Amino acid sequence: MINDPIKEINIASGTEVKQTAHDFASALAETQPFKNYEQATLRFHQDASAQKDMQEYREKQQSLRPQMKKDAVNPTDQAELEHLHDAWLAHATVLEYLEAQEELVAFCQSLGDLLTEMLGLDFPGTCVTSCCG
Amino acid sequence: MNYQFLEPKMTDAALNLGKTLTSAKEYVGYQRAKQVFYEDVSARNLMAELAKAEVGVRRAAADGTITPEDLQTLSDLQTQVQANPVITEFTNSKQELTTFLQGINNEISQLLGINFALVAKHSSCC
Repeated sequence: MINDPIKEINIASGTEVKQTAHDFASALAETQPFKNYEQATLRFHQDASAQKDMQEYREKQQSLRPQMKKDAVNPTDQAELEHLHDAWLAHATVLEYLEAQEELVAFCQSLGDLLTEMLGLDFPGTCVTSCCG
Repeated sequence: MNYQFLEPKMTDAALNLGKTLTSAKEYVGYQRAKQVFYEDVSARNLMAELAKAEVGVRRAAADGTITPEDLQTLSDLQTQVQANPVITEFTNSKQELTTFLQGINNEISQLLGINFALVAKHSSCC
């Protein structure tokens, strides 16, 4: 008779799995990168001027999308788009938000890598089937 | 990989989550089905044949040289794959594991207010 090593594993209950997922989320919520991101997000959302500049930049970007696809944006529109982008990035709250976001992404990627290594399959990739759809 | 910069409490929680996930029935079931599949030469050959036929049909369709025989061969292989218990078990267990892991990600994401997997995913597109 062949021994099946998989049979030797103690199967975790659904409650146990859910609890460890909650513990994981709680631990992540207490980390500095996550706290920084939450605070930066709040400050960014409360900055009406930064929100207005972001909206203007997005609207311009949206209006130029057909030309951008054809790589046919005229120099005047391109200059205006860059100006709106610079105006948006000039807000301290925006820079703080983008930095906090970058820090959180790197942190979560490390966690995702650790889970991927343990599972032997791409944990984030399995959970998010596509980022383009 | 070096995870030294992660806070100890965070590392412990992540290791504990990874350990628990690998002992979940969906993960164990997938590993078992995968092992059976890789040990079954005829099942692996059948999957390889199907993959080859799919590439051939796609190529022929693009070239405009596709024949009814090409489509029949592909259809026959698909039927054989669907009727193969080793392959269906492997495919179903993979789908079950995916659904299970997506559910775990939802649990985590709901508590955090961000989609954890989306943030943790190394971007390869967009």
